[in-house]
Amino acid sequence: MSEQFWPEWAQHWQHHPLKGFLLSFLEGTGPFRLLVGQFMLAGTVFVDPTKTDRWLAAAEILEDDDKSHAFASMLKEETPAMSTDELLIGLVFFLITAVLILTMTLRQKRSGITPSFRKIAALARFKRAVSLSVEEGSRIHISLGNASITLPASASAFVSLAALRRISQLSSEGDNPPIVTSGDAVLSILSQDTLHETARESHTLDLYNSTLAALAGVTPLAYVSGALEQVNEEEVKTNVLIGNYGSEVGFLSTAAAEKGAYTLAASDALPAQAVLYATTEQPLIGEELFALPAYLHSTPMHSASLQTQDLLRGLLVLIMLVGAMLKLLGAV
Amino acid sequence: MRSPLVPLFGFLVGTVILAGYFFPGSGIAVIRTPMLDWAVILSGVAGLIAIVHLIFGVHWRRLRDPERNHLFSFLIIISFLLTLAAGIFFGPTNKVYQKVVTEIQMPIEASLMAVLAITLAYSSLRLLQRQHNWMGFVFFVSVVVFLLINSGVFSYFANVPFIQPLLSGVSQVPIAGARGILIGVALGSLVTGIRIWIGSDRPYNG
Repeated sequence: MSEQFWPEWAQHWQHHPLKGFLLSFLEGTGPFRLLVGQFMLAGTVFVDPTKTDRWLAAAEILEDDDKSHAFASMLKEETPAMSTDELLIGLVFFLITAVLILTMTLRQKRSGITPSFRKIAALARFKRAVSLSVEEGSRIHISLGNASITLPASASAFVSLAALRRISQLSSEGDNPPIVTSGDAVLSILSQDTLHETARESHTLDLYNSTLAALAGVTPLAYVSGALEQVNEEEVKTNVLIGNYGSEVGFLSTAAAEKGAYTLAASDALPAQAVLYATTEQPLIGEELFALPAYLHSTPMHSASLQTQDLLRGLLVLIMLVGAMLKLLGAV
Repeated sequence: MRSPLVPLFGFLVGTVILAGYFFPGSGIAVIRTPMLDWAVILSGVAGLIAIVHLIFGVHWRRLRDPERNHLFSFLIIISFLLTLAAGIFFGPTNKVYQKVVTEIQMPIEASLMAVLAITLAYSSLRLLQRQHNWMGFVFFVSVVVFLLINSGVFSYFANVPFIQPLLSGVSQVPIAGARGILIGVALGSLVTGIRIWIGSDRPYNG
């Protein structure tokens, strides 16, 4: 029970100037720390009754070596260390994936045959929507989500940037270049860079300006509030919501639906996928987000990585089925 | 023409970071940690640039555009300048400053979440209008079934044989589905990471 306050305390102390001092105290003062813990326990009666739980939780950290080291690890943002076997399995899996992608890419380049993938109705409709937007001179709004490139959800951010590049290439014949909103600073700078590069390649630099790609907000709800303004712009007839979101993406998808605009939506987060399924006509579910670059612009590398993804998924399903059967039979 | 040096540099840095992850006890970790710290510092600087761009690049420009509504841009610029000035004057760790900022931000975000709940409930009612297919029907039925299960209404039938095991078995189904989706997402993230590592996908120019 006493550990319920740890995340809050860790979050506070991680950015505190005295963090180093606290870490030294927790890890290096041994009996002195224990003594302070005992004094704290003895002084509980003098503490404000509404804060007794917190006081006792802090005293427990000081009097218990294991708790003290566990809290110090949390303070240092240390995740529990993986065992050598787990790291080795991870490394082997990573290398197998890399080798498979490279081998399949080389094979496709040599044979010149591009594999065919199942049709995703949402993407076929999206390509039509882009063509229509170019013809009628309307604008496409691309929302890249909140994923920070320094966090594990960065893969969705990179996919959204790859999709942005392709979409801006597809719409470069129109008079109105796409507008881009993002919820992360680095992502917004990279999106500006992508739009600028595409404009340079397509000789449409006169249509480009830096306000086309901007940070809309730094918290998920602030971001959605900022991006809503673009969804509601009169000239925006197509919305692309790709990246990492929470359930707040419902504001964007619902606003787009109310306006009658076409929406292509995909997220790597489960709550957002559920919300998008309920609020848009044809959302991309699960790994379909990561298939987007291959469907929008198929290069041998993209096709090979999609094939590798399918192969590995089949392999994992097989391993899980065999494991379940062995467990049922009592062999494991 | 794009320089081959940039992806090569990216590949080398990526290799060092990966090696430091897979061999934590080796000397590579000594190089990896400062590299990650640099990335965090750069990300902080990018945050500053992006916010300045939002305020002075986007909203300041809108104020000068006669065809646009100026009210929100004006409010954003004023709020930003006030918060910035107070932050510089009192310091970002000042408790009163933090409390004022939090007490403004929290109620606004809580209200938005409340509005979101109503928006989603209304939108879900129109689910079958959008999804004219079997999956839409299954999704709708699943939502109703799990709302009922989680409401605790079945606790009145706890003494009926087979109800408890049946409910606990059904409760596992969404977990299995979520794991299936997450495996797909994890594999997608892995192949995307490899494409960026080897320089095939380049989210940067240069």
